[in-house]
This record gives sequence, C-alpha cells and structure tokens, in this order.
Amino acid sequence: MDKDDDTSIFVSPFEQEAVVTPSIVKSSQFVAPGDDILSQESVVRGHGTMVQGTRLTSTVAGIVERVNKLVAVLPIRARYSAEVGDVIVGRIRDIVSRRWKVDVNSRQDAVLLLSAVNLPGGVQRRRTYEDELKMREFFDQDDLISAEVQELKQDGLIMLHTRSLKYGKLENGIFISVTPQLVKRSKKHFHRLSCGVHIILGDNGYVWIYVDDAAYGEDEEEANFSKRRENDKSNLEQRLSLIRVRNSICILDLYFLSIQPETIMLIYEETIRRNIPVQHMLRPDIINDIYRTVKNTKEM
Amino acid sequence: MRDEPLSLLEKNFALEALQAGIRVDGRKIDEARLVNFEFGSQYGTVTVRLGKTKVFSSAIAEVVEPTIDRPAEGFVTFSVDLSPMASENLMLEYLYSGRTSSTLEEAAEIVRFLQQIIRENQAIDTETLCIVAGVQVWAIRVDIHVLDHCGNVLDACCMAAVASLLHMRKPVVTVVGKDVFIHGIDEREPVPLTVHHLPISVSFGIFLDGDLIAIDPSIQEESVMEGTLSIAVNAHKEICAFRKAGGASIETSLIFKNASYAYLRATEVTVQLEKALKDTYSRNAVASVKPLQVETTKKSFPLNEQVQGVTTVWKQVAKQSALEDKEKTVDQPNITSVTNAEMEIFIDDSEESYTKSDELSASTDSDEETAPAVIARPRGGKGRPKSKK
Amino acid sequence: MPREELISPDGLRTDGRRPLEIRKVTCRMGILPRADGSCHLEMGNTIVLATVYGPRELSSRQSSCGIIRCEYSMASFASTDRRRGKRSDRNSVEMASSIKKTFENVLLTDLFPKSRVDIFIQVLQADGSERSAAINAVTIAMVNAGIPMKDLIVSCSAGYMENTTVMDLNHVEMITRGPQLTLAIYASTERMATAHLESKASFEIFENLIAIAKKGCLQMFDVMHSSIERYSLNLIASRDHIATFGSRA
Repeated sequence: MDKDDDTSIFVSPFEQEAVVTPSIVKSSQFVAPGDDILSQESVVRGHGTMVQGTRLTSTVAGIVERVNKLVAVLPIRARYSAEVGDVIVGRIRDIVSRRWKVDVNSRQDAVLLLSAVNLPGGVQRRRTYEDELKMREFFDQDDLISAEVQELKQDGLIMLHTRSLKYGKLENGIFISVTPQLVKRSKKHFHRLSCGVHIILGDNGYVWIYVDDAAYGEDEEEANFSKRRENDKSNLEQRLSLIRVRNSICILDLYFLSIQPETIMLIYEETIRRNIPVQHMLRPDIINDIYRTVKNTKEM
Repeated sequence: MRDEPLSLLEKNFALEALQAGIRVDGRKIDEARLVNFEFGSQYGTVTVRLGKTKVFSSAIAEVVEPTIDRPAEGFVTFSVDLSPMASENLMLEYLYSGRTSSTLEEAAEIVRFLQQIIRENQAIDTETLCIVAGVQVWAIRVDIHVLDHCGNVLDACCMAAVASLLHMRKPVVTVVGKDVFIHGIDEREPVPLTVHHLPISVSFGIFLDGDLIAIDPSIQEESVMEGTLSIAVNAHKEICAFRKAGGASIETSLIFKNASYAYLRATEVTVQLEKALKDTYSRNAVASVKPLQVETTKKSFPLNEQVQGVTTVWKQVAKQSALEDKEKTVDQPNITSVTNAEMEIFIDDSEESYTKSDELSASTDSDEETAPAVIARPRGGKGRPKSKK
Repeated sequence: MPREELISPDGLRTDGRRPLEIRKVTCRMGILPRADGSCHLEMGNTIVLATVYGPRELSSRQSSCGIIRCEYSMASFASTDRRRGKRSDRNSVEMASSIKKTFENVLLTDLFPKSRVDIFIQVLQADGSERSAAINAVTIAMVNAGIPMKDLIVSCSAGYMENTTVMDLNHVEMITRGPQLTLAIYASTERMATAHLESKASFEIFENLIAIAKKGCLQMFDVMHSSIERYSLNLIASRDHIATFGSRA
C-alpha cells in the first residue's frame, strides 16, 4: 500500500501509522489459510489447522503456536470463542421457556438457564412455574448482564451462570464492544481504575464501565449485587470520567492495542495531560497524537 | 412421484456405487439418460423427458419495439418456472427465501445459462427477427415449466428451449410502404427461425471431493453430489458455455476429458432432436395446427394503425388489390434487414405441390390470394407441411 | 460501429498492458470496524467492497452446518450509464448464488453449526472482471473475519481476441463478444473452484483460456497473500507492543 493513500478513508488508523516493523521471527511463523505448516511426524492438531491429504495446513491467518506437540493457529481477529470459566458481559436477546438467550459476540447466542441464576433473597429452591412467568422481571430483553461460562456443549452452545453475587444485571454505566482478541484472559475481570471508575472486561470483548458509589475498598470482587442497584444518580464529574474511559478503550481498539487497566489508564492520563476535552477525544488527528506519545512511553 | 427425503443409507449407497464405477440406475459413469422429445400440436411447444425429469417449453413471437442500442435486431427472452409442482423440496425454498417460482435461485441460474448459450452465442439469428428497423422487431419468448424434477433440470430446460426454438414458427410479415402486415397461419405458412447452431447442455455431478465426475446426475445422486459442472457444446465442436459454480474443487485436467464426453453427448442429442422434428412434420397435417397467437404491442406509433387483426387486413388488402389492379411494388425503402436475407423462391420439398407455391408471379388470377406480392422472405428451415386437402 | 483495435501492433492492449499482465491490485482489509470482516479491493479501475458478518446466530431452521448467504449488487454509479442499483435482478442473483456456492465449499461449515455467515458485495466501479474482483474481495474479507477456510480462493479472467489470449480483462475487452473465461482456483492445490465461460470457444481456445487464467490467478494470489501478511503482522505487532506493559500487577 502506498504512502500517498494515507488520506483515503479506507485506511484504518493503525495502518496510517505503519507501526513497528514486525519482528522477523514472527513473520516467519505467519500463515494464511491454505499455507502449509511445517511439522514433525506426530503432532497434535489444535485450532486453526486441518489436514489436506498429507499436508498440514492453516485455516486462518495468524501465527503458528507450538506447545510441545500441540500445533495451533489462532486467528488475529475473530468472533469470540468461549472457554469454560470465562467471565463475559452479555445482552439478553430473547426469553424462551426457562432460559434466556444471551448475545455474547460469539457464533451462537449463549444460554442462561433459569436454574443457573440466583433468585432474589439468595434462597435455594426449585424453580416453580411462577418463577418461569416472572423471568422477565429478573432479566428482560436488552438488559446487560455479567456472567460466567459454565459449560460448552458439543455443538458449541455456551451455557452461562450467574451463581455468584458479583454477577448479575448491569446498571448505571456505559457499554462498549471491542475485539475479543484484545482482552487477554486473566484472573481478574472486575477492575477499579485509579480514576475511580470501575470496569468489567469481558473475555468476549464486551466491556462495561460504571461507577460504584459504595465504598468497598480494595476487594471489589465481593461487592454485593443488590447494593449496586441502589445507585441511581451519578454526578456530572463521574459521568465525564466514565466517558473518558470509554473513549480511551475506543482508541485502544482502533489501534489494535491490548486492553488492560494499565493501557487504559495510559491513554486516559495522556488525554488529561493534554487537556483534551472528552468530546474531542476521538477526532482522527488527536487520536493519532495520543497514540504516538503512548507508543514511545512503552516499557519493553 | 412423491418426494421423500433420502436416508443416509441411500445416499451412501449411491456414493459407493459411484466409487465402484456404476450408478444406482445401472448406468455407467459416462452414460447419460435417454432423452425424448415430444412436440406439441402448436408450433414451438415441446415436452422433453430426460429420464424421469420432465420439462415443458413453449415459444411464441411478439411484435415489439426494439431496444435503443440494437435497433435492427430482435431478441429472445427466457423464463423458467420451477414451482413446487416439480418437487416438494422446492416448497422449503419459498418459505425461507421469499422468492417466487420464477425468481428462485435455481431458476435464475437456468435462465442465465440459457441466455448465455442462446442469446450471447448467437444461436438464433436476431437480425432476421427485424421487421422494420428501429420500429418493430420480433421478440421471441420462451417459457419453460419444469413438470417433474428428477435430476438435471438444467439440461432438460436447455434442450427444451432449443427444441422449441427450432420447432416454432413466426408469422410471415410483409411490409408495403409504411404498412406492416402480419399474415395469419391459415393465410401464409409461418416460417421457422434462423438457427445458426444448436447448443446442447450437458451437466455433470462432482463427487468424492472432486475426484469423480459423473454425467447427468439423477435426483438421488444430486442429493449426495458436491458440485455441478455444466458444459454446453454444439455440433461444430465449440464450447458455448462452461459453468462450474462452486462446489468441490476439481483438477483442471479432468475438465478436458469431460468436455469430450459432453461433445459426444451433444452430437447424440442433436441427432435425436432432428429426428424427432422430422417425425413430427411427417405426422402432423396442417389441419391440426392451431393458429399461432400473434400479439402486437400496446405502444402506439403511426404504423400500428395499419397493423390490425389478420382477417381485417386481409379484407382491406383484398379490396385494395381488387381496385388497384395489383401493382407490384418493388421498391420498399423501409425494409432493411429483411433484404439482408436471401430472396429466393421457396421450393417445396414435399411430394405434393402446394397450390401457393408460385407467389412471386402475379397472382391476380387466383381469387383466394389477393395479397400484395411477397418481396422477400427469410430463408426457411424445413419443408412445408402438406397442403390442405 | 467501428471496432477499436484491442491489441496494437506493438502488442499493447487498450490500457497499455501486455497480454499476460494483470492490472494493479490494491487491497485493504478491516476497513469497516463494525463488520466482522471487510475488504476494499481494486483491480485496476474495478473497485469492489466486500463485507462479511459472522458466524452469527441463525434464528430459523436448525442445521448441522453453517449456512452462507450472499448478496451482490452493483452501485448505480458503478458504470458509465447510471442505473438503479438492483439487488434482485437476474444477473445479481446469479452472481450471488455462484459466489455463495463457491464459498460453501471453502469455509469449514461444520465448525460453526446453527450459525450463518452473511456476505455482502458491492461493486463501486465496474471496469471489467467484476466477478473475479468480487471473489477475491470476499476471500480477503473472510480472512479478516477469522472464519476458518480450507484455502484462499483466487480468481482471474482471461479472454481471446485478435488471435491473442489475454489476462485480466477490462471493460472494453469484455464487451466484445469474444470468448471470455472467469476462473477461480484454490491457491495451494490449484484445483478449479469456479469457472464461467462467456461466448463460444473451440476446444483449443478453451484450453488456452484455462491455462492463462490460472497463471493470472497465481499472480493475483501473490499480491493478495502479501497484503494479508502485511496487515496481519501489523496487527500482531500492534497488539503485542504494549501487551506485557505492567502485566506484573
């Protein structure tokens, strides 16, 4: 692609920058669909590979990952692929008999069974017919929830559960969707940023940004579900920081940068330092500047 | 035949049979089903049977205004109707795609294929379809209805289209000054179209991930096939169309082998078609020929007033000629494309002489025929049917 | 209408190319952030935009394999005379159906049961070989979307005119009524995925067209593969750039 095409609207931000030169090591391990993967005799085939005749070929574009005998190719950008134990943010799409269908940015909608949620009051009992009729009072269509992946069925169906006080309906915040591959799987999904804003980084690329007035100190994971519901008003300042965080995540997504609390705060602080008002944060020239500065402050 | 979904067992059986070199219905891999052409009593109608697949086609001619970019050429249009009458499985297609029987994907593909092999390859001479350049041309419409879908509908439709175009007749047209007269069937023998070549479509099914290609798949084989390859060849060994739309990948070397199979099959079918046509002519007497509907367009332009129903024109002409003492108007400036065709005295092939054979001479003698002299007539195809007794 | 000379005495075509030369190819992927996969492909003056959504939830009928749907349309400003952009006219339906069938075999549909993949193709500028451009653009968009495929499908056209076989036809060369072939092959095995022949050709010419079109496909593959590689490596470098930044927290 020529440099003179920089002004074309079809060039995405990070391409304009023509970032770092890719390392030679990585480029030798790059494969596109149909490319051969060099392998020894006995390998265990992982995701992204297939056997065609005697050849082992890749089915996606990515880097070949080898772990002992396992050979796999992970796509750089794809729809969310669930694993058991992932914490995700989802949107209720539909309510059918005794279950909710949840959109989780994956190939199929996930399923949240009625028996997999905590009833109000925390009481453990069999779900009755009345519970079924009251499902809509619990989670209605278009509600956002946080949940955990309980199980994966044979055909790829994702079963969710919210059997913990930290999961449940999400309120008083902003939702943003990013590329799932940018959210690394880690132990903590619920974070409290140094600017006072809380975020939930779903492994599926759905992020929830919210304020939490109740003072809980360091240990956010034990926050009580029901108390969160009482916060109806946030003041203007809080809202502005929410939006700033949201825009920072947006910039990270545009430039295909890893999304972690540290990187979010890096962008956040940069915009504060430059006194960029929230509404201008996503202007093309400004995000370019921010990115360049951030790039140079990396610690690697 | 009632459509029932095929069981896995039947599908596997069909595949295993193919691997062993034989088909479920006993044919060999390179053997196609028998084709049967049955021409109807009306010109341009034909029912084609390809094994159990049955397709009906009818071709009619209409007078229309020509398109702007080709004012001296007529045109041929096709429509394929693939309704649930042909196969119950098609009902599902409607429910999910919301298309009608003639805009179904499969129907659209067949129409595109037909357009390719007949229109784009100039199988029919469109210049001879011109009546008055820039004003009136013949538009031939071929309507194909699939009656029974038992595999390989594309081939059956193409053969039916070609057969009906070969069988059809368009009325004789005379242009006198600014007047255009379209003669009815009982007054003048309609003439066949000018056909340059006969493209015959031959389809193959692709099996076993592209390693096996079998000619003319039946419906059972179609349910297990992984792709289809269609080649249209004519008797001059020219490939009129080649289509492989998706499906399993195949080695390019396999193509040439199958192209030669296609050629053999095409010659076979052409011979059969011509034989069937000849049989029809020898069987059908003129009396059984129903009058061909000729529709004129609704668009009005000065000449249209002159183009009326056949009998009225005839009477007018009769009066005129009776009055005028039959002047043969030789200079016809309006005819352009018709004069391109050769002018020739039509020679009667049949055993009995036809009473109207010498029309170019002054026919003031006979009272039945008081038409103005025939100036030029495009070359006809087959011999005339026998005259009325 | 006087026939223009398609091939000059020097052996140059109307746009200055040699017979066995493809046009300049530019491809950009990932240009539409909301789509799962997108590609903007330019083959000379033919510009095609392909977007892919999926795999995503299929609400109607259950299926053991993924369903693919495809829609093809030409913008009303795509060719020299403005026409209403139709999506349901026969030509577009046939193109869409052909492309759908091509990709049904390439995508590993059993890896996403009960899901659908939607392909949308829009021709922004038509200067010949739109079918080839569409197929190439969809391939790249699929790669961008991360949908697993057996191989890359590459496509090119070839034609026979004035006793020469030429590669990658432009509009002027396509409107002649000579034999023209659009061929799409699987890049690594070189097996034929899709082929369309317009206008009749003798067996010899046909063989020639296939050989030349294949060569064109392979030239196209080189360009497409390097574009994919460059884009992907940029992405990876970007992502890994500050990935371990402060991860010790």
